[in-house]
Amino acid sequence: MKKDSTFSTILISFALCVICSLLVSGSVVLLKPLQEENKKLDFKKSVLKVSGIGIDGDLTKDKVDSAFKQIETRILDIEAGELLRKGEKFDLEKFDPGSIRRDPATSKSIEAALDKGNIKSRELFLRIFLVKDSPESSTINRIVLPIHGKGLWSTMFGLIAVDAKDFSIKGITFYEHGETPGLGGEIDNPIWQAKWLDKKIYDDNFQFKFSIPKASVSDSDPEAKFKVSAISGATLTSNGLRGTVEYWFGSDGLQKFLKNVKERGINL
Amino acid sequence: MKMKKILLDPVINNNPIGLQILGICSALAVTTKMETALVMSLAVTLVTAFSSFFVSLIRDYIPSSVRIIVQMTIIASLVIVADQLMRAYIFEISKSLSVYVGLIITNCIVMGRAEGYAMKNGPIDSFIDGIGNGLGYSVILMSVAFFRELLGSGSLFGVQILKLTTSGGHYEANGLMLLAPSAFFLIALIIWLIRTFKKEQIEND
Repeated sequence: MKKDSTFSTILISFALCVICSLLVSGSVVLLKPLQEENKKLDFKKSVLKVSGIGIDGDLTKDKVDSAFKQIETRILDIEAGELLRKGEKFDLEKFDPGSIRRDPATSKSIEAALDKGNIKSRELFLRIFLVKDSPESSTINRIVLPIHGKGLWSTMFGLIAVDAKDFSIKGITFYEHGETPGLGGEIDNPIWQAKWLDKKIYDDNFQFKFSIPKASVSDSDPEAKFKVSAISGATLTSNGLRGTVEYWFGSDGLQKFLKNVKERGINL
Repeated sequence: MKMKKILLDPVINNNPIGLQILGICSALAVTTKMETALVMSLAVTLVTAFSSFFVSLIRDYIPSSVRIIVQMTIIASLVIVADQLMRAYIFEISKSLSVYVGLIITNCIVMGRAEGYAMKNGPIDSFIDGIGNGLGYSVILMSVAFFRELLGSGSLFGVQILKLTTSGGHYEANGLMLLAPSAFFLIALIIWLIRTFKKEQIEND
């Protein structure tokens, strides 16, 4: 069989594809459990990053787990704006945000007019993180809320921490996204993330007022506390982020819950 | 010894970045820290070596009409496997390398050696040639990373050597070193250095 004949070309291509597919899918399947563990730990590190809990030295798994004793993980019923009681409806250990988001029984589609984050549908139950003053205390000082929305190339998954009393922003971080490195990818830049510190999302009447304007925000602007300027060269990523924050902190998102917290506080 | 020549030639005499001017792109992005440069160097070296090995192994059976695609398939599969291994075993570093691991597929050195050497030589020679070119690439990458990390962050492999003014020390970090163009300048300086000592590398105009 001549190597350049049509038959052998097809045969060799086929054989090569089968072998390479086996190699690639084999490695993906075998390594998946390890990768999932890594992702979970990475997510926890992201929560800790905005929680304000200080950790010395390298973030090992043990240090992360022990720091998490200061965090109360709870499930929020977004529609009701209320936290579920501990153990109610879901087993926290097995709660997988991705499946909850995809399961029609625990998610709803978003009206196009309201869907500023362009995510089409969202979960009805959200896993949120309440940061206590200390592992033994029952006073909450910060609430860490997951948000997600479409950027330019990908869905950006982030965590915003708000103060439990005045709801000012205490931190923002993204644990997953595929935006352009150096442009939209600058949402990971700690210098830009630091601009979010102490900004306010709602005004005194609890109306949503936060924005991400294109122009740079000057300190003399009286409205500066409601603004974080967008990233140069990353218009579409910034637009996506603006829409994401508008959606999640708006009336179809977490506004109801946060209003309840303002009026009644949080009962663990 | 022939093996020695195949292995060591690409390090200085026929350096893929220095003489062949291949594979520059990734050299810019991953050389801000020596740690990421090292991982990238290892990844490129192993991918080049193994892809050259496998291409050489089946070189007599590859139909010429699909030659490039076959090489591409082998290279791509190896890169995906390398990426998966990194995400499983060195997750933090793989996050800082982000898209650049996947971009090894487009690195001209890998394809260049597969087409330029592996198609005409035996598997063991091709493997060694891959390692050699990977070594040449690594030498340049690590040199660039050495200067960029030292002058840009005051550290080497994460260990603080020069205390930065931002942490109360005396060294004012050179911000240009953390931006991509500095890698261009450093590579140009290295090429100049090599050609000062190895005049035969200078191209005749």
